[in-house]
Amino acid sequence: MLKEWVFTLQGIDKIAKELLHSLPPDSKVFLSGEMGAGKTTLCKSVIKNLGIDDEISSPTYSIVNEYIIPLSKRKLRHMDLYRLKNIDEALDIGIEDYLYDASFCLIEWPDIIENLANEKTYFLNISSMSDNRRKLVFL
Amino acid sequence: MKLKENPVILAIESSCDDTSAAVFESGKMLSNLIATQAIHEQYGGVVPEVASRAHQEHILPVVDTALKKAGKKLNDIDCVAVTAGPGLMGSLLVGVTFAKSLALCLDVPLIDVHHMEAHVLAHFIDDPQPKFPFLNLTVSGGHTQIVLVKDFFDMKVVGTTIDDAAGEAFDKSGKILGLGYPAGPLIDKHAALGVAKFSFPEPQIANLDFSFSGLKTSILYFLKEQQLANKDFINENLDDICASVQSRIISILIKKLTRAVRQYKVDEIGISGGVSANSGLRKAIMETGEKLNLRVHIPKFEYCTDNAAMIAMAAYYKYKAGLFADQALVPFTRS
Repeated sequence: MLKEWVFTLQGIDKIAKELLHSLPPDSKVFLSGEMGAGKTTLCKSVIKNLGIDDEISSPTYSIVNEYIIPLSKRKLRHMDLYRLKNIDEALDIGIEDYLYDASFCLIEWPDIIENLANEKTYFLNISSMSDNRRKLVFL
Repeated sequence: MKLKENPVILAIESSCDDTSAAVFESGKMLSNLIATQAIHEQYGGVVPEVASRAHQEHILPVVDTALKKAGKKLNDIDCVAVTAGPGLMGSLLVGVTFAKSLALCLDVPLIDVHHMEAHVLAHFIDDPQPKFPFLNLTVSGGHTQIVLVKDFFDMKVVGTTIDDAAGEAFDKSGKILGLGYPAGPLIDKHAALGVAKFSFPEPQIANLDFSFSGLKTSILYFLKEQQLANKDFINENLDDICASVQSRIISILIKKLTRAVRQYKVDEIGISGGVSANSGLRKAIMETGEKLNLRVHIPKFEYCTDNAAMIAMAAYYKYKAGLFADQALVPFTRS
């Protein structure tokens, strides 16, 4: 598996496809990166590349956005823990169920649940570089 | 079932952060309570913001307080209304299960309400009410929509955000500026003292859709570049940066709303949702109304944020139309 990619917005779909190729279908992706690094944009590309046609908007407010992957009928959860203050609030929304079930999860701002990582967890970090390029790394 | 001319409606809203209950009768909102208030009044102490468990704790005291404030008893209720979605599943389940149980116990009809439709129908709580058809800009932390409203339950979303919501754009820009979260009200305050002298790019999105995610990134890059030359750039220019950010967010909203007005040829517009509290946006929408000769509607602030009063209002029109839910009602997370 490739460990690191550098790309621009134009190349993001290619990265999304490679990611999907590398990750098991029930992966729980813990995607970290600072504000504006492109976490949601990357998630949108991954979701789109799974054949999901819906309007894909940010889950910051809703915390969890659920989609159905057309081919596999598997659930995809796009989550954002930005507004949660601590692990207790994450447990209160039932996060443990999400981390062990068969769904594919993309989780932004996952730092408060780092202790809940399990064998399905993959840590990814996205950061901005000069010239609008982004770096994506498996941690 | 015999329907009443002036039903007493108990409405419950638990779609996201705050549990809320309202009581409506004869065209009057008798009470509209949100948990943070109600719990504080009854028990004091701090209330967690986001958690299904919190809804579980709050729902009884909130309903109880809303009934007391309205001067009503459980047996006075003619109908129970509840937000069925969209929202967070765990949170919605608390409200829906409670509402179903109560309706069953009291043997009164149950009404399911769509949260986003209710934001639009908040305009009908107080006079003057809008006349159909009108366009509504629903702007909150989680939503940015232009809705063509032809009738109480004939609404069409004609524009929506393809990434972040407007409220999120305010909050996250504020976070980048070190203002803390949520930063919307703070940006508004600083913006009032500054001049919009920095120009942030406008997204080029076809049709009536919105995009705010690029703005966040351009602010980030702009600040990084300025800070190379001046470490204190943010501090020294905070008011002007806030004014610039706010003016761009508003211009994106108003541009699409104006385009929608021309496209659908309506005579009335409204805004609702939490972001309609922003003073810059209010001013801009009033000016747009004057320029295009439109009647402008803005609900009272307590009816703009997530609240049960708007759920009660929507339920009243559903009651009149005989649109009831059955006990098999399940919540939905996305519209």
